[in-house]
Amino acid sequence: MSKRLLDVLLQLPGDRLKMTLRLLKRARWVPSSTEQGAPLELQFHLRVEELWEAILLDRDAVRDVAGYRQVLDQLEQDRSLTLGAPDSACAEGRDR
Amino acid sequence: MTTHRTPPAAPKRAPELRLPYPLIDYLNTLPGDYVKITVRLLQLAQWVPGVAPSGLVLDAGELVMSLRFRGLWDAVVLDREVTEAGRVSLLRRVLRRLERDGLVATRAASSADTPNDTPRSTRRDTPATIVRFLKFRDNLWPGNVDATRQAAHGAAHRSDTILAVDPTNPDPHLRTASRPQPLRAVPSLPPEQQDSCAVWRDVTEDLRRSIRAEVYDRWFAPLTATQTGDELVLEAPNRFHQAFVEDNFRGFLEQRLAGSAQAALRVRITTAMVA
Repeated sequence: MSKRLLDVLLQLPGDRLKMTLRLLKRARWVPSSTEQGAPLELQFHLRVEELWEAILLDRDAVRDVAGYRQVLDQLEQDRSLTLGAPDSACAEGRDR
Repeated sequence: MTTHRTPPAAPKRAPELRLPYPLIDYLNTLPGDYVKITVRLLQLAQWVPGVAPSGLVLDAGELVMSLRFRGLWDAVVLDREVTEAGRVSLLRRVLRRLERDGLVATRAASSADTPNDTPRSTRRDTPATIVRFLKFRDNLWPGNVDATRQAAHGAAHRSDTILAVDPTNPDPHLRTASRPQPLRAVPSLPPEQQDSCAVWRDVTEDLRRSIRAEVYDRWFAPLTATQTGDELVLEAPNRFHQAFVEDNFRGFLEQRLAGSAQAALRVRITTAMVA
C-alpha cells in the first residue's frame, strides 16, 4: 500500500477506512484475472454479505453503502482505482 | 577557520506498507480511530532502523516513540476531536488493546532514555515507549527479521541510548528505512572542499562507510563543521538535532577522532538557532 493511498485512507472516517481495507483485501484475494476482467479487478455488489460481515462498524452496525460509494469515488479521484459497471451478462453471481 | 558542509541528501521514497490479510481482518474488528492509529504506528515502525548507530539494537518491527510525538497525529484525522492530553490517553488505550490482543508488546524506556521531544515537566509521566510488533512480522518486514538479528549480533557496542523520533519532522520520510540497505558508494567531495576542515572530511568518510546512508544523511549531512584551534565545532540546524547528535554520536565521533592524527581535538556540538 503506497504512502499516498495510506495518506488518503488515514483521513477517512473510521468505518469507511475499514470498508476500504476490506475491499482492498478482497481485490487481492480474488483470482488475479476473471472471465470479464483484467488483473487486480474486483467485481462486487455493495450489498453482498461477505463484504460486510467481517467489519465491526462503529456507527451502530449501519451498512453505509452510500459511504462506500463515496470512498470509491474519492479513491477514483485520487487515481488509486478506476470504477466501471460490469456487462449485464456477467453482473450476476460474480461477488466473491 | 575552515568550514565544510557535507553534500545535501537525496530525497527518498517511502516504502509501501504491506498489510497481511489476517491483519486486515483484525483491524476491521477495532474501533475506527484505533485502526487509524494502528496503521500509522505500522507505518512509523517501518522507518525505524534495525540498528541505531549509537548501538541500540532495534529489532524488526520495533518503534521507539514518545506518546506525545506529533508526527503520529499529523497524518491521521480522528473521528472524534480530542485534546493533546486526550490523544495521549487514546494512544495508551490503543496500545493496551493491541497488547491485550497480542499484536504488540510495549515497554517504557527508562527516564534517562526519554527523548528530548517530551516536555521536561511531563517526562516522568510520559516516558519514551518501545512498541514491538509481534504478529505478522515476517509479512510486515519480509526478510528483515533475520537480517536485523544478524546486524544486532554484529553491533560492536551497545548502549541504553534510545533513538528518538524527531518532533521537528512531521513525517518520518527523512528517517531511515526499515529494510537494511546496502552501504552506498562514497562519493568524493567537491574539489573546493577537499582541503577544508580535513579532519571532518576524514571523519565523515569513515562515517559513511560505517553507518547506513539514511542515518548519515539524516543526522550528519546537515552538520556544518568548523575547526578552530584544538576544537572541532559541529553546528546542528536545530536544538533537537544538536541534542540528538550530542546524546547519540558524541562518543562515536570522539572515538573516531582518537584514532586519527587529530586525537587532541575536542568536539563541541552547537546549534545555529540562538536560544
